[in-house]
Amino acid sequence: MSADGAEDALRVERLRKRFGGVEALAGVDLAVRRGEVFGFLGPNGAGKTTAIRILTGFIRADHGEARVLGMDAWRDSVAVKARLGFLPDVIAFGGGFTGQAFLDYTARLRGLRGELPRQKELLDRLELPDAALRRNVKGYSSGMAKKLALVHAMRHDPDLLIMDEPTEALDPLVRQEFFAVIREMRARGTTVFMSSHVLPDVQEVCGRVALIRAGSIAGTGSVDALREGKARTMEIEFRAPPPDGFAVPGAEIAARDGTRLRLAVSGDVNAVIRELAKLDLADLVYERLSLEDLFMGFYAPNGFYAPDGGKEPADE
Amino acid sequence: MSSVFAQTLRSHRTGLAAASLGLFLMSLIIVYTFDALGGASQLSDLYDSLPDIFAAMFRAQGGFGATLTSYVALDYRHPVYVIAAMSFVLSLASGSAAREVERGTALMLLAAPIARWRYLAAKVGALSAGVAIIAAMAWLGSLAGALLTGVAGNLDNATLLLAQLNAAALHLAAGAIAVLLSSGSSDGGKTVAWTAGILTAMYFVDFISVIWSPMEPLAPFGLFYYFDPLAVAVGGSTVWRDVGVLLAVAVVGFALALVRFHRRDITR
Repeated sequence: MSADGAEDALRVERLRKRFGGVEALAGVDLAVRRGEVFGFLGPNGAGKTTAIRILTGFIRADHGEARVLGMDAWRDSVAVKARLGFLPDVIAFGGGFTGQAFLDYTARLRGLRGELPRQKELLDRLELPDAALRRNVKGYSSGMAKKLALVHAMRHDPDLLIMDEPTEALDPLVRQEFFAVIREMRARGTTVFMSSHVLPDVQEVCGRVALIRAGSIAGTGSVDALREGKARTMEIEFRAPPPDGFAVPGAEIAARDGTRLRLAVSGDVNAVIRELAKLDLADLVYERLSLEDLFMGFYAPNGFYAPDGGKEPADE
Repeated sequence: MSSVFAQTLRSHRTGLAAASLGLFLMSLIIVYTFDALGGASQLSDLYDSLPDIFAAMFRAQGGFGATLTSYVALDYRHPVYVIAAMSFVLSLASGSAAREVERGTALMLLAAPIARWRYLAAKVGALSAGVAIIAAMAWLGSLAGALLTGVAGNLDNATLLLAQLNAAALHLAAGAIAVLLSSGSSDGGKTVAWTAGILTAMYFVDFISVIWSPMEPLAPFGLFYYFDPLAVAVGGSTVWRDVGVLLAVAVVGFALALVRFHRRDITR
């Protein structure tokens, strides 16, 4: 249950899964509220796809509980799938289908009959014309295959949409339209859970994110909350090289190159500005910490949360 | 599940058509060769004049048919016939689960609210229908050959149908082994290789056990021991036992496959 008493769309507790000698999930805890768009981030091999396949009933967890829309993800997988839209990481249609034949076949599997106005709308918006649907899917580009798979996942207006790398291979225009569709679905109360490597995409639509590392959740929260307290980079160019021994309270010198200096600012930015005001600056860039910076902070070997860094983010 | 059944047959229609047509023609032509070889009396003389070793090899391949019916029935055990029918069975059975997991299509198709065991059961239904079509086409080929050569009166169609039932039961039992292996695998190629290896070993044991007595005790453990169309043609009493054993293997194999596929992880 969420703090407000509403049942979560997804709830995962102490989830473990091992494949042979490899521990894919090492005790994952996660909750996604109904109606939110949730990003699931992590490097390759971190356990994203395993977690998603457990949530969609394709894999059984060794230990722990995965509940989807109030039901057990494995035991009640048929009932869950009736209310679920799923985009897998591997897009394969098989069977020598044309695009239209694939949509017709899978509509019958889902028990969808007659005209499907939502499907037509999605095909138009994601730019998959009739001519493309008449072609054999074997000849589809990866972008076309992704669009067809997205239409397949969303056309029945599911209560919960789970997507593994949804924007990969989409061109920028279609990507923007896809985001618009997701926002509309969210407005209608659909819960969206998506994994992605494309961090700006996650930033674009996700209210909250979870970061998974080595089979465990390293951090969960809103992008803003995750940014809080994290070092931000300030790029400074001086008119003359800064004096030796130059130091700023609340900031570390990350790099120094002649008149250029890069600071990692983790303390009060006012103190840094006051110190810099004493010097003659040519330029100063102080960017908002992007999700990518945050991601690198979590996962890069020398990042904020590298194993030898010893720091762990607090869960929300 | 009728959609899965129809789609499975549709996606294997080329293999099914090739096997059915090929066996129809083979069954048709074999009737012509009966007269070309001199008919019942000359074939019987030929068999009697064979050295013992060749006679034994004839027996090992199913026996010797001196009447038109037994001669045609023996055709159903010819290696070409067996391979043609089995190629369809193996292709569909390996694709039923392992190849779909391997290619990733299982993730797309099983995103629908269908119980996995029902999905696989529909594919088993399609496999059974394909086996029935092949049997019917082979039987019709024999009939057509007899009509075209004017010997329809010498052919016992009911007996040949019983021999085809024996063949179909064999194909279903082989299909069950393939589907069972496929249900737990994520590699269609390996499934085909394993099933083909198992069936080849069974065929070899059955063949050798006839001419080499130390192998005899192993023969009942192979499927081909229960496939004896000549015995059917000459009125052998074991046909219902044979069909029963093969169908039991098929039912148990398919049931285990459904359970296994329902409980497995879908991962490559």
